[in-house]
Amino acid sequence: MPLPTRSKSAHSLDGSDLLRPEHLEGFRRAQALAYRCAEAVEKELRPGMTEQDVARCIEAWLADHGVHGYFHRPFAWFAERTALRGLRTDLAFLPSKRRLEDGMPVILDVAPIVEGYACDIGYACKLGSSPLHDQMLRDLMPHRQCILDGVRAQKDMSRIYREVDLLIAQQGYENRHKRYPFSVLAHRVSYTPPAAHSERAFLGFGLSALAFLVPKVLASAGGKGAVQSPLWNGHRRCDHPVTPGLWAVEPHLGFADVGVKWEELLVVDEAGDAYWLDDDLPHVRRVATLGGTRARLTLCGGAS
Amino acid sequence: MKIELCNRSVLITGAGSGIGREVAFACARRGARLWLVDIDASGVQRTAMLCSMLGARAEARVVDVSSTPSMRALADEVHQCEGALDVLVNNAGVGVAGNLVETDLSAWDFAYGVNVKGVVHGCRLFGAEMVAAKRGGHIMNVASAAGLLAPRGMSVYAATKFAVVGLSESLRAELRPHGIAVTTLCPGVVDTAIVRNTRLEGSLAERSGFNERMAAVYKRRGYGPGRVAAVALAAIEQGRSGVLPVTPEAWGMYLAKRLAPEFVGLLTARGGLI
Repeated sequence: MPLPTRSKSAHSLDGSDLLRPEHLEGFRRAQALAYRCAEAVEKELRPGMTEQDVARCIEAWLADHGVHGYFHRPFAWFAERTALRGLRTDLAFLPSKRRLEDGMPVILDVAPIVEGYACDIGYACKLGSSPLHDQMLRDLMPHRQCILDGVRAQKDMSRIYREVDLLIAQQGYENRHKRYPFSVLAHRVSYTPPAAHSERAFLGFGLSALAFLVPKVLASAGGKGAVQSPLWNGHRRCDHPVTPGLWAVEPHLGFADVGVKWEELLVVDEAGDAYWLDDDLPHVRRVATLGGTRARLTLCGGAS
Repeated sequence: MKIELCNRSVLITGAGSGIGREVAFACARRGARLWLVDIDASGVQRTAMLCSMLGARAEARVVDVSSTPSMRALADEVHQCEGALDVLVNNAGVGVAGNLVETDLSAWDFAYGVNVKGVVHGCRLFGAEMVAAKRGGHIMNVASAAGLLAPRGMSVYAATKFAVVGLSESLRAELRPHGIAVTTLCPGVVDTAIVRNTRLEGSLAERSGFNERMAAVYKRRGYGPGRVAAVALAAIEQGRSGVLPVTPEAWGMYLAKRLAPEFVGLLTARGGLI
């Protein structure tokens, strides 16, 4: 049986190449599947499960739905690890043997590749009840508008990053996405034709993802005018408006031993307009159902 | 006098953001009963809300610390509910920057009102009750490294912070027989909103984006208010009286001014904000 060969047209797509409706629909389906997975696994959470157990549940669910490749393999964090506390090295991000207990916050972060479309989601939930967790979930939502407004106003990525930082400080929380590698608030995602995709991973990241990200990160170190960075942080390398394409955006708040995040795809077109790929996502839906304290919040740019 | 903060009453001014907010969180984690004061209503309410999420009882009050009647009303309410405080943290402060000869006199009134009179109000109104209660306690006055060494362009701010250092030194001697410790906290370059909100005078006010650039410098320095709060809480719990610089540069300024004042004078003539 002949081995599959790499066709000349089987190259990764990113940037404005991805803005065609068929590609956007592919990414939307991938993201929706990933969130359905997270919601399904949340229902299976029980005291005593380890982070590694939960990560295996995620992989099993996705495998049952035809997914075998990842932008990055599943992460599951419990308790203070949801606020990324005590992670001395990047290896510590990988799922641990920490056991789930009642009342603990949980974050499920998974980035499957579905029919070549990479997505990356972050799902915050908990076992039991926690008013603090509910409040933090509510407080995550203004960041969605803050980021969108900043992109539409064509602000530099670094400036939007700082405005998110400012909003986090006003809310009384800590910026925990600054603990991610390269302190990213967001990163680009790509489409890789299934024939060209590798299922192998290194340190939790799919080789296809590394092949997409690493050359661009290195090339972008050449300064302004060189390749634009696929990573969105507060560095000078991000002193330019958001480049067209799809971005997985993941603001992450921390307070005491609780961390919450959402992560979803932002579409930025060549005219500088932007929108969230899908508004029918769990973190958007559930805020409407969360009751309790409504604290006044100040959005980016000073508007309330 | 060492203090265990569980179930003790603590009042913090400037609790709507920055160091005051982080001190509030640290006290809340220890189970203190909190009175949180700030002129920023949404900020102080938010601090109180988060403190209550940490399991503490927290009351938020919107008060201008420079206003004598407002502070008197606050003190009356607190004493009626709590009796004498166990811990008072006079943290509220504002920033002013600019060359002295270019600075409007109103900036002096503004900074003096909050940074000095605010501290004086707190010490007089709450300190008197602490003395009368004969239970000891702790007063922490938040000054600044600029209260130890005044760089160019910071005469107004430095003058108010030198005043806090000076009055605290005198107060310390007066309250020692009553078992009330007085700490003068002197933070250095700490990433808080005070820089972004600093009032600019003279030629500095004409420099577009100056506040943002300075805030970015403070952010890059990477010393957050949570770390200052940890130092503050340790001092309160250990009953440490005296001047307490926080951050390496604050210690450097403190020691350099004492050991080599003329050399420091040469350096500050060359460098500063302007």
